[in-house]
Amino acid sequence: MATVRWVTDQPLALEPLLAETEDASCGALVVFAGTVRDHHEGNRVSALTYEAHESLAAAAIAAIEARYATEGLRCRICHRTGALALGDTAVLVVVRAPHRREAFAAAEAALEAVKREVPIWKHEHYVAGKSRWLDGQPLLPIDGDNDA
Amino acid sequence: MSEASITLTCYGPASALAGGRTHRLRVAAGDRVSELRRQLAAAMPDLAPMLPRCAVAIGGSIVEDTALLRDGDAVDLLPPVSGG
Repeated sequence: MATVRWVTDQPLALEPLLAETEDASCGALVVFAGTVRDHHEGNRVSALTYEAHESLAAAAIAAIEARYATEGLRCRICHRTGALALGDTAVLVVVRAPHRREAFAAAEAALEAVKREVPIWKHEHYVAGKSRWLDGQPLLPIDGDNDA
Repeated sequence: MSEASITLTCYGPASALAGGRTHRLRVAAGDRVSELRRQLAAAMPDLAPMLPRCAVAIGGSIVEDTALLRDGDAVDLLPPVSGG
């Protein structure tokens, strides 16, 4: 599996995701970009590092895309790994739908699923010099055959 | 009882708590993931508090605690996730 389709250590590019989701039956396009913020819980953030279990992360993102690419919707998601500077894009979610409401809803739900289900870890580096891994959501075992 | 040798890879915050990213471990033949958790908690006290909230993957698939460990398994320890 070419995991770079879903997880990459290179800067994220929006154009390929737009091209891959093109659909004349869709009248709504929602793009969400999560970018590196300069503060978190009272700390001034200087940079982030993301680590992924690449094959599992790619499979999890592909599964999320498939979940939200039903009923005429199209969905593509890509997450960055490695060292990111302030303002860099960490994740892109692209959803196209026939109408705006389902596009907004699917984009938000897909992003929440990424935060819950994808084995990626965020390490924050602070201006004051310290750093820490953020706590997150425990992954749940996947029922049944997930080799597909 | 015969032994099995596994390779444990610790991801994200688990790596520093375990004192390194990869570990060669010996387990008893027939041990399940639940037994591995107990063994890790005893051997790696800094990691112990996080262990109940970690998922375990064998051979690239997330498994239940009842999964059997086999000689040569590549076992991944996956802490709570924080992407996005």
